Amino acid sequence: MGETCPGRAVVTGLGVISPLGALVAEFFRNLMDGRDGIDSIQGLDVSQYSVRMGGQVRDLEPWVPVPARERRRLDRGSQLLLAATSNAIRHSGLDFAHMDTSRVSLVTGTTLGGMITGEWFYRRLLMNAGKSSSHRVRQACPHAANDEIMASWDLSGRSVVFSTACSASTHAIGYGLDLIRSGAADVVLAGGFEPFSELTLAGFGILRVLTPEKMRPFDRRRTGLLLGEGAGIIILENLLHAQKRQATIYAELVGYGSTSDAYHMTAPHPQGEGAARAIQAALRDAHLNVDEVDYINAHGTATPANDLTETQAIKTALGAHAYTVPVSSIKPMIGHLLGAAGAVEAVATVMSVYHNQIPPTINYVEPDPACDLDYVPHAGREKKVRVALSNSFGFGGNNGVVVFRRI
Amino acid sequence: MNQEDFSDIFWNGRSRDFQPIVYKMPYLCSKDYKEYEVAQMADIDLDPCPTTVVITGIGLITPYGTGMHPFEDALKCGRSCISEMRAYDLSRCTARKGGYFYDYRPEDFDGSAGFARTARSTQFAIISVDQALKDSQIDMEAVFKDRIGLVLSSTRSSLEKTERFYHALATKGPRFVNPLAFQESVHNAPISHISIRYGLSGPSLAVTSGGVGTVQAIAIADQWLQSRRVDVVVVVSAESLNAISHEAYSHARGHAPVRRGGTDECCPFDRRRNGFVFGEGANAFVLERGEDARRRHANARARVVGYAVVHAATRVGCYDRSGTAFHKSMDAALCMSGRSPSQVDWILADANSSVDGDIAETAAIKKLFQAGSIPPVTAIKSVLGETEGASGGFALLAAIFGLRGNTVYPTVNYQEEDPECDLDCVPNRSRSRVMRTTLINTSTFGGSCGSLVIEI
Repeated sequence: MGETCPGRAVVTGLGVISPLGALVAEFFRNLMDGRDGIDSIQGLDVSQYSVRMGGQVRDLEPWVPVPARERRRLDRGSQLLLAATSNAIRHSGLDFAHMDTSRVSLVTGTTLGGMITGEWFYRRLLMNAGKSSSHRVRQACPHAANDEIMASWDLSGRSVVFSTACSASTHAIGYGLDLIRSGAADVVLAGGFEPFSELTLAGFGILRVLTPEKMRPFDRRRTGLLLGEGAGIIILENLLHAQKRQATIYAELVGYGSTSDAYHMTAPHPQGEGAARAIQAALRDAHLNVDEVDYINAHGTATPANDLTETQAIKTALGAHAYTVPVSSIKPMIGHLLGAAGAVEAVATVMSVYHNQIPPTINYVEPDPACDLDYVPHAGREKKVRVALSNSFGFGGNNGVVVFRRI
Repeated sequence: MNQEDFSDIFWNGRSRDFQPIVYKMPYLCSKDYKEYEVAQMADIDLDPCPTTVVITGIGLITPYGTGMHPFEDALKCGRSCISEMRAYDLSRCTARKGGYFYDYRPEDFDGSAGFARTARSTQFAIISVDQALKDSQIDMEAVFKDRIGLVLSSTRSSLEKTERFYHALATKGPRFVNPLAFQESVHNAPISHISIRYGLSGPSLAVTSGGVGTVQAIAIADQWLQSRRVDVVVVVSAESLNAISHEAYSHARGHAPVRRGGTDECCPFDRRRNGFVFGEGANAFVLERGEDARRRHANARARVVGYAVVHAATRVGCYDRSGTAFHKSMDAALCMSGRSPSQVDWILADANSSVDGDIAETAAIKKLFQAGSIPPVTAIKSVLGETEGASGGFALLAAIFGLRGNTVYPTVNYQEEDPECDLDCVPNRSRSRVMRTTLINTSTFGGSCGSLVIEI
């Protein structure tokens, strides 16, 4: 099956669309500058909501590579994924026209899938609005965005969608690693997408995890998270395949760890036990020792529970070395992208390895004695980053960790 | 490995080759079976290849009842569960039929308020996993539960709670929504509940890729087992019926009746076919490496010898009538299994009474198999309906039951032949045949195709 033998997975392209931009270089520069991408929510009637701030993608249209008439029937989630994928493919220099595209797979994570279309459809039912366009209604399927990608680039490998909330796209990237290692694919487009919606705004609002002010991960006075939207795609490629076409390699994906807390539907395990095991599993999978870790891109949602348990998990997993590893969360700058968080944060983590730069945790004012690690407050940092982790710890105790290493 | 070595790795995070054992002591048979049937099947002769994945436990719930026998009986007799839906109001919708489990009562399994609060599909999933774990006879007190993985396939069932949540949001506003409805409405709610209930702390995933979900879940399980991420994987697939799914897929021109004036019946391969008809249910499988199953003297139900998932490069809801993707997926699955088409005794078709899907599959089968040597092709969706994310699992169950019972199940409701779907679809009556190898097809509403090769 295929000319390339099972092997190592390297990152040869990155695509992102986010509240801080849609070109990877611009996105990462904004992160390093500590820019705040959170703003008042527009386009939705939020007068009844207590939280009216979030990270939205302001100018999506120019990045979606379809004519306007086609774009109208597409769900916002599909458009976000199209934008990120198109950027990633361009970034990688891959030419699918001259490749066996049955060896190209797509794995994405999402929470809402096509629910923006679902909301639209449901409101029409409530109003007895008659027949809805079948092409539009179909966009409500969770796999519709993936199908759009496979059709647009004529890809015939596997198309998989994971829906494990906040950890979904980290698992997508981890599964991409498994596919390359086992030889099931030569190229995997791995990532996730998540639009901004009333459904999640209301849901997270009623669970009382949204903050009325700013996101302050690891801060003593942290009060919760803000939502964001976007999409990220990492192009994973078999190392031999990449070398043969002389591709630019940004980093190698060397490890993936996945565990469950088996504790509670929404609260994390109080000692972060499952999260610690996920970090250890990822490092074991990568054949790396704890003292080789140079940076951790945290889940860091700024909820009282998560930041405490994540800190404890990092200490459990890394032992004394935890105090020498910078840990930062980019969520205050773009919001919590839910199903796309793992993907967009992985893009930032790869850039950290590639540029030897670590983005800051902004809005950090008052240290919390229980969270006493180095959270890179205020300003980004120049530092040699050979090995970096990206954590995603989802609702229901679903934990995913991926490890990138300089090649 | 002893407890000290394990603790050493766990607490010090040392990276070295991890050689797991599944059980600290010989397994003990769990005697605590509930009323429903647990499969009583003889051993199969385990494959000489030690790492082939085998199924050591099964569980299911269908509109026919809980457990193996009601479903097996219905398949054999060709008794369809599809009828006019009475469970909820579909008066403004043209899609009126479905296969619904009317006699289901959650309190028959668990009378707690917490269980009753979960979505119907979550309940189905838990019930199936409960059976499968018991059927596997794994002593849950003796195993390392972080070496057990869990993969769910379920695509449309979260809509039940999402609709309830969104209805309150749209009609009353964000201050009047129910937090418990939100947490039960996420796609991964079933795996959260299952992992908490059984203490499964290994990797867990929720696949929402539509009809190919079970095959994708089995592919993930196989990958995890072969790479030794885990030692056991529970694959559960669950879908439940809800009004919003019927409405949405009717507007999407997928659910029968698609063409006005045509039938709304579920009749795969029939000339009258006019769209799929929804069903519901859940199934669960326990998968292990053959060597581990052999070592603990487990009852192996079947072997998973090959699988493949491909995409037709079509948009959602659009089928490739030429059947290229179906052909590729069957070919790749057979290639992986090392079997040739001539060794396939029976095909369990994906055919669900959709106009284009049934044609595509027929074309693919005719291309793959030599004329005159096409095995019988059964569409079990003719009795069960389109159970989407759970459909692959039900086909797998039908394969296991049929292979062991030497029975080729019928495609029911077959009245008018369609020259474009001219396969031997075992119309209306089951047959006897000694069989060893089946090929199972699945697909998502346009797009993905997945195939499995199963042997006993």
